[in-house]
Amino acid sequence: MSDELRGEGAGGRREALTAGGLSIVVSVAALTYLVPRGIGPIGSDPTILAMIGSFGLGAFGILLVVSGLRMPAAEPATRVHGGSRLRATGLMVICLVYAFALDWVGFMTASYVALAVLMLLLRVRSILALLLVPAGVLLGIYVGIELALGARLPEGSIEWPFPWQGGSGSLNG
Amino acid sequence: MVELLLDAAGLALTFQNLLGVLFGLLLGAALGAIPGLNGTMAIALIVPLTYFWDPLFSIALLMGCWKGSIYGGSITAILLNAPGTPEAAATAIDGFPMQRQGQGRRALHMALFASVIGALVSDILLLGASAPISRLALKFGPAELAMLILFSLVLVAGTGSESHLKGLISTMLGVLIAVVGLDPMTAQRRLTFDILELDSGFDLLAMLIGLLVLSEIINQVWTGEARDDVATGAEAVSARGDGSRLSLRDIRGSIGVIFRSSMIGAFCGALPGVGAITAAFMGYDHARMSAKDARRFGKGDIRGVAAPEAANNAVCGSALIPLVTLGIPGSLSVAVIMGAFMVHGVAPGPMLMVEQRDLVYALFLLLIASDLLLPVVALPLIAAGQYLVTIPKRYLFPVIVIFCATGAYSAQQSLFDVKVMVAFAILGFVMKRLSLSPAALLIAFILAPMAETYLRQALRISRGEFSIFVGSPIAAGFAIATVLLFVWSYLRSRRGTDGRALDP
Repeated sequence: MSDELRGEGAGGRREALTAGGLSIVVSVAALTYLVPRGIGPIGSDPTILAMIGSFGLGAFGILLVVSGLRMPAAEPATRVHGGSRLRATGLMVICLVYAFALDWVGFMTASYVALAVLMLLLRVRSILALLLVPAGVLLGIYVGIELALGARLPEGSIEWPFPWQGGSGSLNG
Repeated sequence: MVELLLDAAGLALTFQNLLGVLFGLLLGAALGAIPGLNGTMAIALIVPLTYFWDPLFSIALLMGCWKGSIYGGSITAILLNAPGTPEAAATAIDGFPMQRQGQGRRALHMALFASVIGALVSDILLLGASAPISRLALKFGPAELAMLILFSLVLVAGTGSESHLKGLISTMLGVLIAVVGLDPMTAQRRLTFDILELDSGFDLLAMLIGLLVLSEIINQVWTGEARDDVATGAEAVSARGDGSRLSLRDIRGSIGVIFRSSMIGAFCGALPGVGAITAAFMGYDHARMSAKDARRFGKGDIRGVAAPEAANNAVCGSALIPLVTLGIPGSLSVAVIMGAFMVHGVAPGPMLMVEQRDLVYALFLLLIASDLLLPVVALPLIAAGQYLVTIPKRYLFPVIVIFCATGAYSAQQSLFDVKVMVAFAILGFVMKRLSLSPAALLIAFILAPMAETYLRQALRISRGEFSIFVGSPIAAGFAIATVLLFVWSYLRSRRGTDGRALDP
């Protein structure tokens, strides 16, 4: 059985405290937003479920913190490799940058770069693969989405002269 | 009934729909065979592509994909001792020893045979049980439905988390996320924090893809699973090379176990929150305990392959019973299927059997067709299995990331949804690291709007009196069951004996 599947007592103290603490923070933030906006009689109040959810989140968060404090302080030895953590963090950063860059770079260019960088991050070292795999994947997506389904992929302001924009030169939006 | 089935057959059994089922089976089995990918992820990735297609064709394709993925997981479980999906973990216990003894092909064929029988038993049960349960469900009022959903929320809070408390936190988070956007009754903004794009709430597909697919990739990279390729080559003994055959004697010796495990799987599928993993292990345990020569189990007994495969495939059909009759998804996979229903304008629930009966029965017939077509896809895939599973994750994962972005964007052609997808991927990853349950969050996200509607309807009827929720025997029954379940789960969790299934 992996660490993740063990019971709470198997060294999940830090997990429980973090999860409980974060739940309380989210609950307080939601209630701070909701309480001034709660209107109307019960039954037509649009915030009733959100209020129940927020209170529940806070209450269960407190219970989890309490149960975490009762757990033994010893933590199980971590088996996660430092390089893997760095790679996972890099992956998240690349995904975030990619999501925000799509607006102005455009789907094709941003995806090509993101795919190549992600492959590099996951230790693909073949130049040929770094060039050809993104090209093949994006060709497949272009054929599937634009040609077969007739949907438009997001265009960016730097992509307009390229053929996948149909020569329209139109900008995003 | 016969007339209804004939009408449904006319609607369902077209060349196009059967092709959709076949394509779904192929895609699901291929993706399910790759460790790290599962049926739910496969469906989540495919749903946006079906946006422009005919609803029946699309749902048939997605159901085929789900069924195919459950079978596909067994290929790598047997060939490599690396279950392609968690549902196939029990299959590896006896499947891999058989492979090492040069009986891989025999094990794979038995897995296929048991899968088909298990799925057929479950689908026939679905066909027979849905109409009576729907008729009963039509008698439920808003209070009864609100309490039923509350009961389901407490039940599914255990999905994917070892602690019920953490499951409840995930559920509450799902409820909070579900209310983001404009209130459908008063148009008041709720938890939008003045972001205009959030007025219509979070897009289900973007959220699904982020929480289920991208977060899993991040998690696997974090834990270092992406560093190694799936197969080492030395382990991947060719199934084509061995001369083993499934014999009539094998079938005769396993048929009883297959039928009993199918019933176990069908029962597990109909219960919200139980899922195919539990079913597979229950089926395996049943086969082991009922065998006269149980010592052979774990060392390559063919019944140890047949039982879990029959059980996990029998979950598919019966898992749709609470969905089509009550509108309640009992597991994450069904929640994703429900999302696909909603994308195509089909609203699961008691009224579905009244308003779109033809469509529902057509879907049931396509499910049965998918069972019968599974061997058409599976037999070539068994031969190709050992090649398919060797795709390195360092190539696979970046490609999937781009597919995730394409899927999130395609549904509504909105770049905001790509950002939502990435945000939920990070949330899902953090939840996994904290042993919270993205699955419970997702099911709560789907159930919460229904719960809100019924809750507010009931309170309006009762003029704000909460006693309406215990006013009828059905509502009171669900209320008592919810409290008992809550207390039992909490006590069980505190004792640290919580062996709840992790539904993918």
